[in-house]
Amino acid sequence: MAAGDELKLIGTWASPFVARPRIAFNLKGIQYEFLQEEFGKKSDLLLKSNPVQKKIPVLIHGGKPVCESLIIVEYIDQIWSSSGPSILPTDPYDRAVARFWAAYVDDKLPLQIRPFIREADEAAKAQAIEQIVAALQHLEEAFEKCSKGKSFFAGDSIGFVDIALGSLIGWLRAVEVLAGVKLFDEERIPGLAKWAERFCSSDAALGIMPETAELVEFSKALRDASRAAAPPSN
Amino acid sequence: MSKEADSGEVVQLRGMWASPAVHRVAWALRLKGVEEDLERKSPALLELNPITKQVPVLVHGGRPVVESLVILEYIDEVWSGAAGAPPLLPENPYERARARFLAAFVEDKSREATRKVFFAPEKERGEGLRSLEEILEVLEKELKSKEGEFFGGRSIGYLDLAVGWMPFWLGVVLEGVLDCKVMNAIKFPTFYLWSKFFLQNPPEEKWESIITLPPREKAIEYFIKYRQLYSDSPK
Repeated sequence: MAAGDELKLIGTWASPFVARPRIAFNLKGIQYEFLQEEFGKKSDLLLKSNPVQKKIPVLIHGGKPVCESLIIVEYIDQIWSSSGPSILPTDPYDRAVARFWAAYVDDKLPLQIRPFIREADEAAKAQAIEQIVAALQHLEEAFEKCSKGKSFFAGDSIGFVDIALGSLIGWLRAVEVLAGVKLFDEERIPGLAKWAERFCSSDAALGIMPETAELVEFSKALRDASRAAAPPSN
Repeated sequence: MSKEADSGEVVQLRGMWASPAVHRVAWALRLKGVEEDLERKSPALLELNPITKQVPVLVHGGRPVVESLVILEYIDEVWSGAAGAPPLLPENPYERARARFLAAFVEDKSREATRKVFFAPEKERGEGLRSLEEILEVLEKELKSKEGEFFGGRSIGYLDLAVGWMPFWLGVVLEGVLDCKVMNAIKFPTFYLWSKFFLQNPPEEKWESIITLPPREKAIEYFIKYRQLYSDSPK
């Protein structure tokens, strides 16, 4: 496929994973058609393009599907390597470090957001908060090391780890509201707290990061849906 | 003795001898002709630590690289063109994304599936086995679409290394520990043929030196003990 072929992205405005390729496209200045899925339904196109997982986001480039948010981001970086900044570093060791931290984000955080978008008891939510705080602490250290005093994990411009973690800021802020706990605490994690502000107000994130209030509202719809789907308890 | 890599720096692989993730990294190094510094390797103790904590670490020139799939990409990038070995990842961006996607999919799905098969009580085991079969269906289909015997085409590639643990660990070990068969040669004939390389069978010299495996009986013994320790089911 060439850079000029047809581009479609299947996703929703609320999904942090969908936000990732959208941010990458923004960084590269690339236009694409955004096909939004209806809440609670999976379109035929989605099922045909990602039969294995049936998940969003799916990028369709020249008719061929690419799946998995971080894999799509790497793909975008490769195809449009001459546009915009490089999302992944060029040095193999730095790339391995970036991939590691992006995988760490995905390993630790999305699971802990779950208790807030499903039926969950207070104990589960409290534990989730603990896990998030611990993960953000590690990421704070990672930020210090990777940024070397610059604005983003990748340095002067947004890169792979910035996108991986940055895409979750919206939902983490929603969790702050739902749990009544401050996660991006300037005292505990000063580097990340400032980085989060910077990320959200960057050009790359413009128009993509959902408002916290909208996500809080949306989380209610998700909880209702999961309650309805759950088998009745005795 | 230690041989230094192209870049002139010492390479060490650390990890648990029974771990599939460690082996996939070892195979990648051997494919690229990279020799490890074995002097610093820890003895093969029967340490019954949770495997999740014993991830492989590749130490290159004193710097650690963690996460086996990330390590594979690192090895491919650093030793590109080494030993005349073709690249592990496809050059074509779409094929590359597909290989990564399938590796991530298998890694993710098999984690939960093997947990169910291995540790969960009998009734959940069926779910785990079904999940494993679903993985095999995907892999069977993918292999059939290739020109050549491997996921990498005519040579071993990233996806071969990523799922290469299955023939031994899900085949030999699972059968030995649970007397339970997943690798169905009739249902998954292409996968079955492919799996012979990862069991050193046929014993072609070339593959023997690359695809190293833990000793069969020792591995079965280890996983029996491991399962007893960490099983959800009553002993």
